[in-house]
Amino acid sequence: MVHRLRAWHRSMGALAALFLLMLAVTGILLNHTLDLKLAERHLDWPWLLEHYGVSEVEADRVYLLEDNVISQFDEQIFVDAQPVAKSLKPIIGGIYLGDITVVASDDALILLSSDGEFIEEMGGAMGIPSQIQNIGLFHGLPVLQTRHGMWRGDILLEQWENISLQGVSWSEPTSMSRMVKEDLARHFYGKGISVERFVLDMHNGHILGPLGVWLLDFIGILLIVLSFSGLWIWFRTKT
Amino acid sequence: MAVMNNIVLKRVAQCFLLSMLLVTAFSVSARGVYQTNEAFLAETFDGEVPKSKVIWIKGELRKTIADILGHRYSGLRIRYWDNGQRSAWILNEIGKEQPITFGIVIEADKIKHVKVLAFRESRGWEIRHPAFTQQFKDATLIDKSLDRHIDGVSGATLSVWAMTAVTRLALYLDTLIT
Repeated sequence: MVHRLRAWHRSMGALAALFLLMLAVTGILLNHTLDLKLAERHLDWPWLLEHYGVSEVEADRVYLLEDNVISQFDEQIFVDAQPVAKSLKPIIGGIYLGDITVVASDDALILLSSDGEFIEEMGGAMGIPSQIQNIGLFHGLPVLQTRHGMWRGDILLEQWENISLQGVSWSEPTSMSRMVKEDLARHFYGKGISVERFVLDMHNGHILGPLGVWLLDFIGILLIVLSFSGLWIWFRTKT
Repeated sequence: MAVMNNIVLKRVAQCFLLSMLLVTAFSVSARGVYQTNEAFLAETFDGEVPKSKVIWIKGELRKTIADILGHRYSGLRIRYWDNGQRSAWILNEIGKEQPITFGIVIEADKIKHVKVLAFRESRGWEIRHPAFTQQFKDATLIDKSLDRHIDGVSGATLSVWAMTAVTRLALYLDTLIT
């Protein structure tokens, strides 16, 4: 009986030792969080970010802007990964007009400087045709497709004429490159996962989700049983 | 007696619930566009809206505007309409979290009237009432401040501040174009 218990105790002890080692190391690290500046250090390993669900961002809308993309997350508009302006309305495309970026919603044009700085929003009061469906370029001039027809504007976006054109280069929905997605993820989620959080999640099992918590519970119970079995073996050996 | 008390309590509870529902419904309906920018301009200039012009915000002007608003203006230019007699300004300013759109008309260096054109906050919509906006009539600028005290509205302090700030800004910008 003692022989069989000893064999079980040994093999279970080896299994528990692995977890004990992990708990001891992470426990010591957590005891010195401030000294080791664990909250200020970050991990940005792709698999870890993916595991925490902070590697992917999904824009509401994405449009091609020559070599760049414009996207919208809620009210925030980005050119690539740079936040540039806000729009309460969904954007429907964008163009470069010389040095100026023009982003369209259904009733306004948002103008941005070459540095991405917001210039102004031009709406119906400034003569912008309403119910815009798309924005494009035709020989360097802005063109708007609206529910009331096609409009070509001047370079200042102040004069618009109702016209029908062929060969307009329309702004098109596109997908984001992996690099822009990663930059945006960095914008939304910061530098990555703090070492403090990672170590804490290792220590309490949350790194594996609910399963991890149950696993650590099991290890805890195993350690209690091992304590008793160890004491019992020791006591029997002494007597 | 106890039955009577119960009935009275029930009536009071019903009235309270009804009034809460009405307040909630009104505060939700208070958000929105009260007047479009186009309608505001048409009304201001009796249907003959002049071509818009712009003031570029840079250098010292940017600093002055930041002083007036209490924060950096989020834009590189401000548009206005001027027919030689009066000027109209459509300016956005954050109340608490969302931009409020104001329409301001200036004539002879004085506020002719100020209106809330669009309100997007959940509180503070009371500033749109003429009883409140009337306080700004004929207000002028003395050392970048209004020549008068504007009485606040309980629960709408940030909206009142926003309206006061854009009024000062419009009056200041008007001095630059005249």
